[in-house]
Amino acid sequence: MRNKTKLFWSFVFCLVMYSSTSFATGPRVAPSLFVANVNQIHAMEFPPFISSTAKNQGLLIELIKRVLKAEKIAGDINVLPSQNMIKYYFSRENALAMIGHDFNLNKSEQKKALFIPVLSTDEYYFSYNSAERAALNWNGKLSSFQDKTYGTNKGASVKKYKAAGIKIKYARLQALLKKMQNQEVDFIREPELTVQTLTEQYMPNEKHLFVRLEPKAGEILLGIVFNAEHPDGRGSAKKFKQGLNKIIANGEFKSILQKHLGDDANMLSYIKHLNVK
Amino acid sequence: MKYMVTLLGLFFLANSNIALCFDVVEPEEVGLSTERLKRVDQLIDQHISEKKIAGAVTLIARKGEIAHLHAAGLADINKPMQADSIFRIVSMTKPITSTAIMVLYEQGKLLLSDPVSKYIPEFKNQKVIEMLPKGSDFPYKLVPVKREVTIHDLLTHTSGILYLASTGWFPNDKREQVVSFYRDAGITDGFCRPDETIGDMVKRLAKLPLYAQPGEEWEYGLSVDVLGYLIEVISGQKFDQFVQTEIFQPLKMKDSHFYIPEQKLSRLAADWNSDWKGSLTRVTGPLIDGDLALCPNDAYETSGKYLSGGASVLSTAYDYFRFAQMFLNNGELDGVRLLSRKTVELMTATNHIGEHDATLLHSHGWKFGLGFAIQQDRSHNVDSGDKGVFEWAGYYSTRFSINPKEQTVTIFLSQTSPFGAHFGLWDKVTALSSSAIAD
Repeated sequence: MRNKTKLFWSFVFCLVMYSSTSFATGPRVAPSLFVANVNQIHAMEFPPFISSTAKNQGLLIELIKRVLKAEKIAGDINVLPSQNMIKYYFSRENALAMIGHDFNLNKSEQKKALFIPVLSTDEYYFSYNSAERAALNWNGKLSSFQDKTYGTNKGASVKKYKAAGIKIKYARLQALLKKMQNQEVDFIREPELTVQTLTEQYMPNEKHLFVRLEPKAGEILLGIVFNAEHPDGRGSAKKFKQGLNKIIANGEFKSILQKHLGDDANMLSYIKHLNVK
Repeated sequence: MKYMVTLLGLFFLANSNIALCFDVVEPEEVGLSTERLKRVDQLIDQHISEKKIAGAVTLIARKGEIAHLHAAGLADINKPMQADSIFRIVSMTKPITSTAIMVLYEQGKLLLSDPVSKYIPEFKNQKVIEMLPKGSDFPYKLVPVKREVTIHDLLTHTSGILYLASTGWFPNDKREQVVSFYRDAGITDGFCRPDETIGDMVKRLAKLPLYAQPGEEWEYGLSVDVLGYLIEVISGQKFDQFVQTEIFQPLKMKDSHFYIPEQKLSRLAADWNSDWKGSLTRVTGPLIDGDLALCPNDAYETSGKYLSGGASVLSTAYDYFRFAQMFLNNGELDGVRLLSRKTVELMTATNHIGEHDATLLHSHGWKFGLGFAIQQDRSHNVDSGDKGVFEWAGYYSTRFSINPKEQTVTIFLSQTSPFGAHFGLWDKVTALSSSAIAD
C-alpha cells in the first residue's frame, strides 16, 4: 500500500514536471508549426470555375476534387491570384499539379506538363454598350476590330490581334471590365459565365451593358496539368484520367455541373469537346 | 486675454445643422509667441506667392488650446482656402486605423502577438522571396516564413508587405520581383480606389510572397490596409462604420469621412500639380509615375466599396487636431476616454522596431511605434523639437506632429503633388512651430 502511494505520487510529480517543461519550452504560436502539404496543387483564380471565395472553390475545382478523392490522389488545392506564382511552384518547387487554362508554358515547362482537360467552354468577345458608345460589330474576322483595343491578361498570346492591327492592353479581368466601362479597352474574350459572374459581383448596375458578340470567338479547355517530374506525377495523371472518365460515365460529373449551373440547356456543351482517353 | 474666433457658418454638424465653433486663444496664454507664429504664416504665404503650393491650412495648438489657425491661398480655382476645408489626408489615415486596432486590443478582442492568420486564414503558410545569386538559372526562390506575420508586425510595418510605389523609392531586384507578383494579382496601393472591397484585396495579397521575413525589416507598405480588413473580421462591422462609431463620433470629428457626403463636396480642396518652380496646375486626372498611381479626383466620389486603412480618410485641420489632442491627453478628450494611458504609452514607445530606423519620411534617429514615427534622438537630420515627438504625413502633402513634452500639436494640410519636394516645407513648419515656444 505504501509502495502504491509512493508510485502514485511519483507519477503525479513526473506528470507535473513534464507538463511544465512542455509549456516552458513550447512555442506560443501554434499555427506556425503547420506546413504546406507536400503534394501541392495550385490553381489560378478564374471565377466561377476556380474561385477562392466560392463554395468548394468553384465548379472546376469541385470536379477535380471529386476525382482526386475517388482515385485517392493526395494533394491540397491552393487557389492563387498570380499565374507567375503558379508556374513558379510547378517548375521550381515541383508541385504535383496546376489547374487553370492557357498556362503559356515555355519549352522546358511543356516537357513535364501532362495536361488533362476537364471542362470545355465557348468563349465570346464582349464589348461595352453605353449611351456614348454602341457595341462593336464583329463579323467573325479579327479585321473587324482593327484599331480597337483588346484587353487581356499579361502573358496571353496576342500575336494574331497585333497582326490584325489591334492595340493591346493588359490587366486582370476585373480591371479590364472597369477599363471597358472607362473606354480604355474596347473588347475582351472570355467565357460568358465568367463575365456574368464578375459583373454580378463587381458591377451589378452595369452588368447589362456588357454585350456578348456573336458568333462565338472560340473555345477554351480548362483542366489540370500534372507534373511529370513529380514522383507521383505520371501515376496521378493516369489515375486522374480514369477517375474523370468514371465520373462522366456514372453521372456525377453532370450532377456537379447541374449543382453549379442549374438546368442550363447548354450544359452538356461543357463536356462535348473533352477527349479523355 | 482670450479672444474668440467664432467660426459660425464654417463648421456645421453634418446631421443637425447646428453651428460649431471653437476658441483660438492668444498664443501667449499657452506659452507661444504671436510674433514667432507669424513666421509660419509668412512661410506658407511665401510658398503660395511663389506658386509652389496653391494653398494650405496650418494649425498649432498647445496645452489643449488652438493658438494658431491659418488658411491661405486657394482651395480650388476661384475658391479661397478655408479653415474648414476638407483634405485627402491619405497616410495620416494610418494612425486612425492603428488607433482602431488598439480600441479592439483594449476590448480584449485581440493580442498584438496574434498571428494574422488567426483571423484571416489566407495568411497561413506564407512565403518570403529570396533572390538567388546573379547568373543562377532562375532569379529567386520562395522560402517559408520563419514565423507568421502578427498584428504587431502590421502596426509597425515589419510584416514584409510592400507598397508597389516603393519600387520608385528604393529600387532593387527583390522589390521589383515582389511588386511584379502584386501587379500580376491586381494589387494596388489603394491611392486610386479600386472597385472591390478591402477584403478582396487583402485575401489576394496574403497569398503573395513577402519581401522580408516578418519582423526582420522595416518596410512601409500595405500593412495598415490589412489592419483595416482585420478590424472588419474581428469587429463584425464594416471598417468605416467601426471607425465612425469608435473614433470619429466619440472625438466629435464631424468632418472626417472615408467617402465625402454630398453636402460637403464644395469644401473639398483640389489637388494641384507643382513643379516647385512656379508652375502650378489643378490636377484633373490620375497621376501615374511608374508603380505610383494617384487618383485625387476619387475623393469626390460620395460612395464606394474600397475602404483603405492606409489612405482613404478625408478630414480637416480641426478634426485631426482633436484626434492628436486625444493622444496628448493620454487617450481622452473632452471627458471621453478612447484609449488608456498605458495604451498610448505602448503606441509611442520607441523600441518596437529594434535596431531599424523609420527613414522613409524622416531620417535615422526616428523609430516607428504603433501607427507613427517617433523621434528617438536629436543628432540626426530631421528634428521636430524633442525626443518623443511622434508624427506622420500624407501623399498630397499633409503632416501632423505631436510633442508630448511641450504639449504641442502642429498640423499642416496642403494638396500638392508630387510628394518629394515637400519634406523641406514640412520640416520648416515643425521647426517654426517648435521655435514659437516662449516659456
